[in-house]
Amino acid sequence: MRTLKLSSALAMAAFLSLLSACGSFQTDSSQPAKGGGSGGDGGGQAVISLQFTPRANFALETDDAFVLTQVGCLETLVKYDDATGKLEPLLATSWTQSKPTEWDFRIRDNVTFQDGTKLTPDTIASALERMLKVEVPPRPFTPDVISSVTAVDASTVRVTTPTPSALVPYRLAAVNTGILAPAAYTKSGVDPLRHCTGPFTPVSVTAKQSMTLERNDKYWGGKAALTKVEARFLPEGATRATQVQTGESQVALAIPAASVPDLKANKDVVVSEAFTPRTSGLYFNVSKAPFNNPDVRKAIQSALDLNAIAASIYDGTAQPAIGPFAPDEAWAPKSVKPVSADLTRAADLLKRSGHAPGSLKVTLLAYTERPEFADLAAIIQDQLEKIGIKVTVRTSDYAAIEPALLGGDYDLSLLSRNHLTDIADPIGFLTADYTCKGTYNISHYCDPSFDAKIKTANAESDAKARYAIYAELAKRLQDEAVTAFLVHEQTVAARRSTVKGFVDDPLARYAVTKDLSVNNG
Amino acid sequence: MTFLVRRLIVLVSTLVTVSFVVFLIPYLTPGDPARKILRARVNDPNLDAESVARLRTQYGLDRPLLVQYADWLLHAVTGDLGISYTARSPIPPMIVGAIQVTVLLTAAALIFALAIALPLGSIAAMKRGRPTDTVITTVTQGFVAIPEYWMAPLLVLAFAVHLRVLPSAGWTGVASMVLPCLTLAMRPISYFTQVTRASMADVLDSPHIIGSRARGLSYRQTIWRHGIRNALIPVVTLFSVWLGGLLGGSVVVEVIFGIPGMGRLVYDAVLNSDIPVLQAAIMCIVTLTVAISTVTDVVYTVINPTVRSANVSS
Repeated sequence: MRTLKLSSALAMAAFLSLLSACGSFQTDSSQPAKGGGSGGDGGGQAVISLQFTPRANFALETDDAFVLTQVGCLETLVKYDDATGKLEPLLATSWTQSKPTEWDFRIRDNVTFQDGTKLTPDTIASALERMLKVEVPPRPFTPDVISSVTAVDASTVRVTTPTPSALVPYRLAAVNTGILAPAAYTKSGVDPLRHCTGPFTPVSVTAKQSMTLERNDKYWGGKAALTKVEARFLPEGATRATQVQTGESQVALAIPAASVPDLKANKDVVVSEAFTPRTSGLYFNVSKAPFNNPDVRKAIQSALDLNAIAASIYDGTAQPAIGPFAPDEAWAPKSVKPVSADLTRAADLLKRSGHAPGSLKVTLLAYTERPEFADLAAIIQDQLEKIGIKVTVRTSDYAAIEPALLGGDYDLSLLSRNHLTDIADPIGFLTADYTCKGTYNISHYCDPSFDAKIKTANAESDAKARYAIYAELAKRLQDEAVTAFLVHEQTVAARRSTVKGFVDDPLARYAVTKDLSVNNG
Repeated sequence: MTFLVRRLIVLVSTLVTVSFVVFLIPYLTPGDPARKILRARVNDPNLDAESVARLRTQYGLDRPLLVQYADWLLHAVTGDLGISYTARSPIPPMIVGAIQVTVLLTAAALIFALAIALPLGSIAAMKRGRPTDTVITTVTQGFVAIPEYWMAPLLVLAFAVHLRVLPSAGWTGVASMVLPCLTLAMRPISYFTQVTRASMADVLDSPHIIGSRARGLSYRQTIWRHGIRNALIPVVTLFSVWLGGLLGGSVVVEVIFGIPGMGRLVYDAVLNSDIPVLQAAIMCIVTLTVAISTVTDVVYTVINPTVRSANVSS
């Protein structure tokens, strides 16, 4: 009996400690109930599970800016519409290139920040000038590409560049150039609470947990459908998937491939897939033998079974690559198919290059930050074995292999590259990765005619003409097998079937929008 | 007093030694720390060389390693743990917030484990060789074989997805604590049960228990006065070992359940190459673990007077 009493006392102690713990939970009273707001999928409230956690005190030069745009808080002057491939007005209503090195943006005149201050050219110029002076300016908006931002008159902001540039509006569509009220910029960092212009007002943040937002009834674009939103920061993909499965969240982004079958089997959940601007590839070091010989590269390209890779390694959440860009991107070459696996052709190409079967031994680098690369390396090793290429796989963290990649001291490497990391235009990627002086040219590829095309594109203000150049260059990279592009990765989002108006943005900029709603019925 | 002083000297010397190792950890891993910091910020391998150089200078990463260590240690002993590279804010509030969460989570899990294991272990000892003992021993031993990354999804599947009685993630109230606590408690339950069973069995077989019965004490009185008290000694030791271990070892549970504790702090610091946060977090975990170990030794002497006597005489 005493034993039982002791255990009861311990259980009571545990219970009391749990109760006393309530005070240490950083819960905010406005948190919607399980299932979103009023205990179900309705109530005009929603919970969304996000992949990224703000980690830099909302410094806009970091990826925290993406979180602020995803939750419907932060807005930029210009918006890039991924579906049409065109720029659209946001806080600026129009823009013109007044001189080769000057762009004028006309500012929307009925916009107020959520703290009541008015959006003016001065506040915009001040915010963007501040961005140019931060410790590490964001790549779309560095002093190398932007000289200054000034208020010209009561409705115009002028952006000056050091050299003629057609891409300034694209730079001002980058989330890092979002505008917050002057009071948001404090000595201790950026405070986004009630300092945005977007359809939702952030009212509380629980570090590493969540952000609560209320509808901004004075939004310049009209009232949003939802009245309240809780954004949960959940880095673990399976946890985000479970949140939608249980109805705790109405929307979850970046669902891992392993969770997709369960979600698709749930009739209350809708799963959507969209191409991301990210392509995984087998990178060749073209500066040295044997990969300075295009026939060897093409032999490997022909030996790879991309369909099998997409199906087995990525569980169908990736598509065989047609080059560096996915087929639905505005700058992808048209009517191009992935290279089909053809072992006979591969063997012939290898023979033509002067390598007898079994004579070629190479090392393939993979990094642990991409968990799928271990299996991917193994399958490539197996597929190349079939044409007599002996592959040794070396896996470590990225930092350990980076010196070899940059220094050209490697044979083959797996790499996953986002080609729109700075602006919604792939010129930064093409320049960094494939021009002779590219800062991330790990292929060590150098073709002056390629560089000349990039220079032409940089000065081309007509988007269509510029995209045509990118398509031509992408086709060249694929035809010359500079890189054996493997798969175009897709982003998977899940939402409850009661959610309306959700658009899965492959560029991870928007999730909670004015039109997003949760239907009670 | 001599015992306490000796323990404090051991504590301080341990911490100084560990501090040097902790300081060196980020530098023993391959890669340029400045590049790692910037890569974590821009989430892209293509880095601007000027920005890398600026960061290296700004954070003093270009100074000799020993100079960096001395600087870091001098600041650390005055409570200045530096500024987080990613959050760009002072580290102490981050540590304090995270450690509160982890201590609560860990303590709750271990108290729950004790509440389950003590009676189970005692019953198993009292029913040695009988079916009850076999069932308790087999089931609790099975808990050891289940890793947290497997147990957590299993519990989520049962209680959050199917039964829908508990939240699947978050740190928003008592309900959100239940599944992570259960996950963390499984292995301690197993060990505590086995240790309680073994020590209780030893005590029950000892001559003074037989003597107590002979002096007319009832079986239950004997168990309580002599059995539980003596059997608690190894359990308390084990409790402190687990408490120290779980303070830094609940990374899996905290990441899976989205709990903002020390495990998550360390996990994020590693991902973001946030070296000052990583160093501060590890030092705090080590300090707490060593402190708990010292306190355990003191408690041990209180529970067991023979140990205290031995310490005094030595």
